[in-house]
Amino acid sequence: MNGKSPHGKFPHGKSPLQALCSQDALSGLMFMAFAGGFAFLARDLSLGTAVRMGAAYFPLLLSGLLGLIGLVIFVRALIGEGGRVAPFAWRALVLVVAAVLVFGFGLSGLGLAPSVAIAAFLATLASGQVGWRGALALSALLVVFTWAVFILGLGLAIPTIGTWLS
Amino acid sequence: MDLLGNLALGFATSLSLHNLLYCFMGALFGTLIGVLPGLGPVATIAMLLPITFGLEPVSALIMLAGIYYGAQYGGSTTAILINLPGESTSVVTAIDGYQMARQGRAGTALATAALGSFFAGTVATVFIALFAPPLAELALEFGPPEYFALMVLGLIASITLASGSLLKALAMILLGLLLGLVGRDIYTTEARFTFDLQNLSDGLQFVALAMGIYGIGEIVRNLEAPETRSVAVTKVGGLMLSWADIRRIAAPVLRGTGLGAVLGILPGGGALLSSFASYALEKKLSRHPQEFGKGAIEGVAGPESANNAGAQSSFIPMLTLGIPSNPVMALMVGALIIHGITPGPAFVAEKPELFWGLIASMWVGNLMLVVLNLPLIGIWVRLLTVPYNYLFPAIIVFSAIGVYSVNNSTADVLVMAGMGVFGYILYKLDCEPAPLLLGFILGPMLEENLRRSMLLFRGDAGQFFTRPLTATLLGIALVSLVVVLLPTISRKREVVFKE
Repeated sequence: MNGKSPHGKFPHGKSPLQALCSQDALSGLMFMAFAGGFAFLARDLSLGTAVRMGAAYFPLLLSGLLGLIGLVIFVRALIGEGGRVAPFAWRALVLVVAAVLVFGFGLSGLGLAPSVAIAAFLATLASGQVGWRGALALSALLVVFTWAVFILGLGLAIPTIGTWLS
Repeated sequence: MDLLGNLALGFATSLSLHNLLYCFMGALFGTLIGVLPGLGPVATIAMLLPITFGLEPVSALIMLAGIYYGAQYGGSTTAILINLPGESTSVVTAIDGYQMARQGRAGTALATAALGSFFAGTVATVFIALFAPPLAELALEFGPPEYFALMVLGLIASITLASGSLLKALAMILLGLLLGLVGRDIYTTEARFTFDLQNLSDGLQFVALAMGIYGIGEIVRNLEAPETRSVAVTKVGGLMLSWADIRRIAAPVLRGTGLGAVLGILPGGGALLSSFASYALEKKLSRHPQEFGKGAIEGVAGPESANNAGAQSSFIPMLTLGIPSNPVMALMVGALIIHGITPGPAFVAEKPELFWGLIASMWVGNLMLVVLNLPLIGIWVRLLTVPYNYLFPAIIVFSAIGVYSVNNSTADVLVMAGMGVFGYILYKLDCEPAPLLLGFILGPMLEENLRRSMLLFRGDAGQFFTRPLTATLLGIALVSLVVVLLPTISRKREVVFKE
């Protein structure tokens, strides 16, 4: 446990980079980064005293704890087995998130129908198993359906076609 | 007699025609979404939450309860029919339920699940009616220090009972607490962690957070592997149970109900722990344990009753103390707050028609599942055959519209996108998101109670350990944390969860 394993610095025959990219090591780093970020953002807030806690008191307490636990997780991952990170599904991630972002940024300007159409089209392509024709058909269907349910049915106050297009 | 009077008030509320309708719609929509593969109760409730906003609080709550039961039931249905548990609570059901389905006894398994759940729901309803009011009365005596200690205990207990790495769960709680603090500080009115964005001054929207992590993140995760799902079951078979079946399930249902009702009250307990415990118990008590894993009806009856009883009794800490014990309850608290209700000890006394109406509607919701959903099983099976590749874009669009409609805010939609990425990263790093959600909900409450306690104590934190009740609560939290962190125990714990 003290780093003197026969493989050199890191047990299990891992290279330093592998050890650094394990699930636990990255989690530890992530937690430490969040702790640091919150602590940094709390720097301008009032600290107060233990009796009258200011806006920064509790967050700093939590950040401190989080940073500490993050460090323990990180160190333990370097010493022991941290778990391998499986590859990311980039296509799915990018397209799904892009769909939501387009919807979020476009809704007020484009209106419901175009936003739904674009979002649904992008999302459908995310699986990589449906072609663009299928995606077009599905987004047309969803445009009609969401219009009927949310505008006709529930009377949601969103323009069907937004100001950017008219 | 008081109890009967209260229950009568509750039933008068929940059996009014329009509330009955909302309960039915909730159960129906809940099942409809819950039966879709890869959507557990949390995502289902978060997605359907916006449709309850226009309703008055009683109806909204009743509809939510219906959605919850529907979602749970939908999860069991997919577990039995296609071996795809919608959520961890139905993992156990899938073991024997799916085997039964492969032997052509899907109908029997589904009916067992529904009837077992109904029985458990009935008992748990009475259980809540009996124990929630006295507990609430007791809790009325609690001051800020007791609340602080209770919440700390609740958070700690919720992770000691969960599976996975404890340290990471602890870090996730802290991160959740911090995220919960985003927004304007109520004491000093300073804007905290908002990056000067107007949209963040009211804090991160809970629905956007939950939908991002449990909805969007989950979808990306499901898309990792190409779709290879085959629906093995096309015929459900008879829904009727034979006398022999009923005799076999009677005892497991009873035991499961008792186990679930008790374990559900524990923080972090609820449906998940109950169903695992019940399965282990039934296997141990069974005269033919070799049948388990090969389609033993007891393996469906026990856990299904237990998880429903547990799901329901986990309402007790939420309603009486305002402390959610699992992510579903955290969502319920979020929903109540949106409707302007803060759950807590005063809730029972101040809003009796709401409290008792909710309790009565729990029972009505369970009844709905039996009398309406069982006959509709054919439709649910049909839904299972819709390919996921065409389903998830619709889910994404509906979630986006739903999150937007909470506050008519497109910023919330962007938060959902961000949380989706975050949720996916958490999954990649093997960090369980449930503690984060609990922390997020409890963050502001924990801070407020800590501040008020410290004011009361004149800055001397040591007084937490000189008051008998807070000392006990915090002591239990500390001991359970230390015990679980001990290497030998944590190894044993892993074994238990692997079983």
